[in-house]
Amino acid sequence: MKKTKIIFICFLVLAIIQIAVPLSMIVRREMTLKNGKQYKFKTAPVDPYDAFRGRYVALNLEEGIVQVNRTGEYHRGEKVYAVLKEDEDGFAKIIDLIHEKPESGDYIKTRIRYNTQSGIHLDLPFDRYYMNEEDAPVTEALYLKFTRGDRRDAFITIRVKCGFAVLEELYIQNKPIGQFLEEEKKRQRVSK
Amino acid sequence: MKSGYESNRRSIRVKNKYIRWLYEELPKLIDKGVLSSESAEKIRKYYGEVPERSGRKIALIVFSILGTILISGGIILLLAHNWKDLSRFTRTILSLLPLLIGHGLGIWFLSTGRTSVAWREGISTFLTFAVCSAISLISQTYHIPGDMGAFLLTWMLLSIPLVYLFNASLPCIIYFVGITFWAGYEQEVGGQALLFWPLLGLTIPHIYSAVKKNAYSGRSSLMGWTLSLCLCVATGITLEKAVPGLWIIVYSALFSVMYLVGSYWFGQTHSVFQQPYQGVGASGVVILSLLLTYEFPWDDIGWGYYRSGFCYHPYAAWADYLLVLILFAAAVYLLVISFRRKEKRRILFGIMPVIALFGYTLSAFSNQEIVPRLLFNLYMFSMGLGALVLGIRTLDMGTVNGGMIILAILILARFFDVELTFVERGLGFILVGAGFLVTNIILVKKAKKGGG
Repeated sequence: MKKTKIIFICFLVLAIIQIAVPLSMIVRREMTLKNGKQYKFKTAPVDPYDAFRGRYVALNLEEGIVQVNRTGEYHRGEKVYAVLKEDEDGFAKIIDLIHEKPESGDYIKTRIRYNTQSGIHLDLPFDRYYMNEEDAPVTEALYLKFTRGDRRDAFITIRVKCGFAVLEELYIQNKPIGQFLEEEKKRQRVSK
Repeated sequence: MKSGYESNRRSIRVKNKYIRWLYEELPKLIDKGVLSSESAEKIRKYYGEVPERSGRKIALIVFSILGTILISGGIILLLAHNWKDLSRFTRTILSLLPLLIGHGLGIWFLSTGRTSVAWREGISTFLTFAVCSAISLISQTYHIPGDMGAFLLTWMLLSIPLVYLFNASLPCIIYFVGITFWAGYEQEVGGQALLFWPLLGLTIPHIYSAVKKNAYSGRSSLMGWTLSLCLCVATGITLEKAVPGLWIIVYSALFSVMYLVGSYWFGQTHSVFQQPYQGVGASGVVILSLLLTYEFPWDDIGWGYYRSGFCYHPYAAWADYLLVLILFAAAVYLLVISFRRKEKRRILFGIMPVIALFGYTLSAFSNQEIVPRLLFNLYMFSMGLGALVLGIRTLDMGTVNGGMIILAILILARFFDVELTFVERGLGFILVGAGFLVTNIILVKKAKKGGG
């Protein structure tokens, strides 16, 4: 009798933890989306697949590779703080990578993926945008159709608060991806 | 040849069948006045409750497990579709809903004091998948980066307590597979997966209690198969491989230990399904021995080829040495027991790590691979021949067939071995064939002498 009671209490504790973990993931992200500062990152979406989480577009971020002077200071897997600033076009720019937490300004806590001659490759916490299994390949195809040479018409917005970043929206041709896809589908229906 | 264990089980099954028949007859006997209801009650009391027919019980458990897996898989797939019209709030509710349903069922099951295996396995498996679907849908909603390692580790750590709270083995099996995948992912992205061993350690009390209760039950066997196969994969993954070729000793010791542990503690049955450790261990010994008859495993191994660089962690290399030591010591310990008891079959499979260590040392220090290769050809040949002779002596067709298979694999491998010339292969085959015939003639003569 005593044993079953202990098991029951342990199960209740486990149930609370099992709910608390996903709930804490939600709350932290909602708070950042609500109160964080918005930044825009240029990107190129490509369409891959995840067995558990479904279809997504992988984000090939321009700012994923950073050029800094002191390349010898950074090692693979190391934790760093990427200091953010907006450039004249309104896009985010990583202006420095530092080992100590900055006291002011916006920054993203991240890791060094590789340190190569082309620059320092960062493991930025927004490498994918999940989409419907029908929309993901369409997005990639449309992005390729509308992108010519160096002109990159896609960007994402993120929200940053205290080093924590959450992806907010993917834009193609300055339109949120949902709106862009709807308009494209309508346009295709009319032209048919 | 039936073991005592099997004949005992059979007699219990037959007894239960007759008691069940008697209980079905009791109402008729009371109706016709042959037996009073008091006497019928006394009979029931005397024989007690008959367990449900084992086939029906197994079917119930299997269907509950299959049903749960399919429903859970269906939920994950439905959520993976990514319903774009749903708001973030609806998605939050949806992601937590399977978990809440699972928790409700768990509370109902534990508070009503039920003991049904089908419910126990079903609810805990459903909850295991519910944790996965909750994290997955949240990752999808908030576009959380694809860190598969963190995802798997969180999922596994949140699920493992279910194994103990429900005394359920299917979540344990999912856990084995999950931590093996986690180890593979971590090693793949340049990290190291030493945490695999403590994670595996969390399951030992459950395996021990299941085996202690019944080493041949469906759950013990199923866990045994998954565990031994996952161990084969994960051992290689967790090795840092800083000293090339250490895997030869590690794997030969692992397979021998598996075989010997299986044959000492799980050997009271003839069913292959109930012998997971022997099955995987013996197959491993044969396959690895065959590999070691080729040149490539012996190329550039030993301290002289120590690897370093960003992919190699010196502290993890120490874990390799520790693993070699532990596995080799365990293998030698079990082998010594086999030698003391003069158990030929166990010696045949258990001696592999000793030969591997000798071959490895020779190859590492003298940079030559001919002797180790020859040794493993001889070892495989003795293993096959030994099993064949042993099987004939004990009239055990399984062992005879096993020996024949080992010899056939070795013969085929050498027949198509392009490293040897046709003349070498031809002469070798004729010599071995002649050896067989001569042995046969000697045996027949001895038998005749003995008979007459």
